[in-house]
Amino acid sequence: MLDFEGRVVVFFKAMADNYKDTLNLPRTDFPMKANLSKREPEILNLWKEKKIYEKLQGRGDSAETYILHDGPPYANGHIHMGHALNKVLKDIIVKYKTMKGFYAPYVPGWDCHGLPIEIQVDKNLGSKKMK
Amino acid sequence: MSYEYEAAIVREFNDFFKKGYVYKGKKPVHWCPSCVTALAEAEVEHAEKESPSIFVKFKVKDSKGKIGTDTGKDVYFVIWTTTPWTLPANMALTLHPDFTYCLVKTEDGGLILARDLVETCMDKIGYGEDEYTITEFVWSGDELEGIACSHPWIDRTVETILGGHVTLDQGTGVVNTAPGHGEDDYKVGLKYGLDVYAPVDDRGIFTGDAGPLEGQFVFKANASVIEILKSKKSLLKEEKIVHSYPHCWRCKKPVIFRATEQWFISVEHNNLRKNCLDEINKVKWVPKWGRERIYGMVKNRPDWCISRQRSWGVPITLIECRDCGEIVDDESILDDIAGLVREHGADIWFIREAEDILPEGYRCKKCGGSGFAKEMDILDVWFDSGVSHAAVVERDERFTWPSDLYLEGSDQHRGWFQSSLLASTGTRGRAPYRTVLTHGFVVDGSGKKMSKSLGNVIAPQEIIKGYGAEILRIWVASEDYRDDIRISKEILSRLTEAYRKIRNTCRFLLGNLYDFDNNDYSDKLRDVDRWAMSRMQSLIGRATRAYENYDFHEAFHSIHNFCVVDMSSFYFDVLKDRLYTDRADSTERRASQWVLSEILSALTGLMAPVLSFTAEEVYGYIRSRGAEESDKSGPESVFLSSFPVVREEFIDMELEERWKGLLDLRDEINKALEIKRAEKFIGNSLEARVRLYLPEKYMDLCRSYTDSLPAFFLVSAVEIADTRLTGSYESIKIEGLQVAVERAAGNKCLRCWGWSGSVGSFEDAPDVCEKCYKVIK
Ligand SMILES: [Zn+2]
Ligand SMILES: [Zn+2]
Ligand SMILES: [Zn+2]
Repeated sequence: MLDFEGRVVVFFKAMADNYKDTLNLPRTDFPMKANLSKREPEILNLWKEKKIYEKLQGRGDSAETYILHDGPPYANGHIHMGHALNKVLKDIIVKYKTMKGFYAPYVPGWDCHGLPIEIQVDKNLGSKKMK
Repeated sequence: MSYEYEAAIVREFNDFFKKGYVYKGKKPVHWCPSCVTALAEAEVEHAEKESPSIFVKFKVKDSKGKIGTDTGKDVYFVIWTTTPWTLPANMALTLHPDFTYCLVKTEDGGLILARDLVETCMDKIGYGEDEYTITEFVWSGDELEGIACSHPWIDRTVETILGGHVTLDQGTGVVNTAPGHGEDDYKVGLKYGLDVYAPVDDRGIFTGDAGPLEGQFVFKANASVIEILKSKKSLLKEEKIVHSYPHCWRCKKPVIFRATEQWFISVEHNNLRKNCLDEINKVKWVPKWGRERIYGMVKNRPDWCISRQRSWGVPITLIECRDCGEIVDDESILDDIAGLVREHGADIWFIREAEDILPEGYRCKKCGGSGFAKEMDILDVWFDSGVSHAAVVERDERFTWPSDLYLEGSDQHRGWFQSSLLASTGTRGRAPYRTVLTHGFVVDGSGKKMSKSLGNVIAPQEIIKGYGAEILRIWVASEDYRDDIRISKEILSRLTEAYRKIRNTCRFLLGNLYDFDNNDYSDKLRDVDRWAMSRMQSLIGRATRAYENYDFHEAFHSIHNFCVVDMSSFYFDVLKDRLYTDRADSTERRASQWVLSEILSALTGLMAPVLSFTAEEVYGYIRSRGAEESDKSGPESVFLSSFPVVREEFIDMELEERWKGLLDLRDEINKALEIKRAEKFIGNSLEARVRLYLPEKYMDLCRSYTDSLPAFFLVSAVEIADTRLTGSYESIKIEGLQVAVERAAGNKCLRCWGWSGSVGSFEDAPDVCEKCYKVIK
C-alpha cells in the first residue's frame, strides 16, 4: 500500500476490513524503494538486449541530424567528477534531441571507433562506465 | 590513434601548407642544455636556485624630445635582472604604459624608473637618502615609448617599448627584454617586430655572435657579463639571491629559455585572424561571456607555433632540400605522403628515408639537388585535436558538418575550441561548430578545489555505487553548471530526497491506473482536472524551453516542483477520495484517471533525458499495464518515444490564475487545521468542518465551488459564514480571512472516513455514509 506522506497507510489500516474490498485502492508492482545501484545495471542490460542505441542510430537516413562533437581526452583538468559532469551533460542533450526526433549520434572527437558497441551504448544511454 | 585519423591530420596540415599559412620562424622554448632538448611546460619543475641580482643602467642616446632638455647630466633607464647572461640578446626595454615613471638625480646621472619603486630600489642599490633627489620630471609609461638607448657594450640601439606584463612586484618597472630568451619578451617583441635573437647553442654555450662571451656556458658567463658591465660603468649594483627557478624534470638542472627554429601557422595570412573573429560572432556561446573570452584571446594571440620537439606524435611531414633548404611542395607528393600514413601509420615517416618517400630520381626544383632531409619535429597535439572536425565529423557521411554543439570545460576557450576554430576557418572558411557550451569545475561542499591532499575527492564510482547513477545525473542537472559546481554528502542526500519525491509521484500515478479503461475522457473533466491539465502544459512548455536553452537545472527544478507542489500536496490529495471511494467506473473517477495517465506519460517523457533509468523503468510499467505481452503498445523504450508537446487546448491561464486564489486559501486553512491538530482537538482533518469568513475577493470564487470545497480542503464540511466569526484563526497572509475549525457533525463513515449525518441511517450498512452506501449497494 502507498505510504504517500504517511497519511494513506494510516487511513486504510484503520478502515474496517469489510469495506476494504469495496474501495479502489492503488495497485502497482512499481517498487517504492528505488534500489538504484541494483536496478541500473538491469536497465543498461535491457538497452543492450533491445539494441536501443542501434535503433536510434538507424534513424540516420530520414531524420534531421544533431551533431554533438565530443572533445579529445585531456591530460589534465577533467578527472573524476569533472569528467562525469561533462559526459552526463552531453548525454542529457543527446537524449533530449533524440526524443525530439533528431538523429543525434554521440560523436567522439578522438578515434574511438574501435570501441566495442556496448561501451558506446553505455556511454550514450547510461553514463555508467565512466573512467 | 588510428591510421585514418593520423592521415587526416597530415591532410589538414598539407592543406594549411598549400594555402601558404605555414612558415618557419624562431620562438623561445624551455630548453635543457644538459639533456639538449626542448621541454614542454609540464616537464619543467620549479626549485630554488642561487642567481646574481643586478641593477644595470642603459644610457639614453636620443630622447626624441620626450624627456626634456634641462635634465642636467646624462639620463639612464635602470633595469634589474637575475639572468645577466641574457643581456647580449637584449633588444629593448619594456615599460608599463600606465605606470608613472620619474627622473631621480644622483651623482651617477639621472636615473629613470617607476615612481613607486624609487625608494626600494635606491636603498637596494646603496644610495643614502641624501644621495638622490626625486625630480619633478614625471611621465606615464606611454609618454616614454620609442626612446633610443645604447646597449651597455654592444653597438646596438635599444628602444623603450610598452608591455602590460611589467609589474611593480619586483625590479624597477623597466624590464630587460630579450625576445630570444623569454616568453613575455618574445610576445611583446612580436608586436614591435624585434629580432628573436639568441646567440646560444644547443648545449647552452655562447656562439661566435656573442663576441667576448664565445665558448662560455650561459650560467658561467654571468660573471663575465658582470665584469664587462663594471668596465663600461653600467653596473649599479650586484648581489646574490635565492629564488624559484625552472629546472629540468629529468636531470634536475636549471633550464633556460632559448629561441629555436619552429613551424608556425600565420594568423594574418589570408585574414585568418579576422575571419576567426567574424566566425566567433556567428557562433552561439553559452554562457554568453564565452564569446568575450575567446574573442579577446583570438584578437591578441600570436601566430600558432605548431611544432614540438617530442619523440612521439604525428610528424610535420615536410621534406627539405639539403643543398638549398627549399621545401618540397608538389601537391601530388604531399597527397602521397598522406596516403602513405593512411596505409602504414605515421611511424612510416620515421622509418623511411626522405629519398624513399619521394618519387625515384626526384630533384630539387630550385637547385636541382638530390639530397633531402625530413622534418623531424612533430605537430602540436592541439593541431591533432583541432582537426577532429575534419577527421571525424566531416568524414562520416551520416553526420553533418559543421557540428551543432561542442561542450567542454571553460578552460577550452584557450584549448580545443580555439584550435578547432583556427583549424577549420583556415581551411574551410568557417567555424566547425554552431554552438559552444562550457561548464565550470567541480568543487567540494565549501567551494574548495578537490585534491588528494585535502582528502575531499569524491569519485563518480562511489556515487554510482552508493547512491546510483541516477543521483549523479540529477546532481548534474540540478546545479547551474555554468559556474563551478559543488558536491558533498549533504548535497547528495538532498538530491536523493528530491528523487524519492519524484519516484513516489510516479508510483502514485501508476498505482491509480491499474484498472483504467484507456478511453478518452477529455470532455468529462472537472475544473480541478482541467487545472491539473493546464499546469501540466505549463510544465511541458517550461521544461522544453529549458532543455532547448541548456538550462537543465531549470528543467529539473520545474519537474520536481510540479511533482511536489502541484501533484503530491494538492491534486493527488484532492483526488484520493474520488479515486478510492467512488464506483470504480464512475465517470468522475475515470476522468481523473484519464488525467493521471496523461500526466504520467508526459512526466515520464519530460524527465527521461535526466532521470533516464527511472523514466525507462516507469515507461516499462506504463507499457505493460494490464496488457498481454503481445499487445503492449508504443515503442519499446522511452527513448524511442517522442518528447511531450504542449497541447494548447488544455491551457487555461484564467483557470490557473483563479485557482491560485483557492490554493492560497487552502494553505491558510491548513494552518488553522494544524493548530487544532496540535491541540488534539482533531486528529485527521476529515474530523473537522470549517467555517470561513471570506474577504470580498474570495467570496464568488468559493461560492462557485461550494460542492468541491470539502474535497479541496480535505475536511468533512465547509460552511461560508455571512458575519464575522469569533475565536477563529485570523489569517495574516490573506487579510480579512477567518477560519473556524469545529468537529464535524454526525458520525465517522468507516468506509471513507468522512464525517456525515447520514452515517447510521442505513439498516443494512449502519457504519457508512450516504455517498458510500450508494457505491456499495
Ligand atoms: Zn635535463
Ligand atoms: Zn635545392
Ligand atoms: Zn463514506
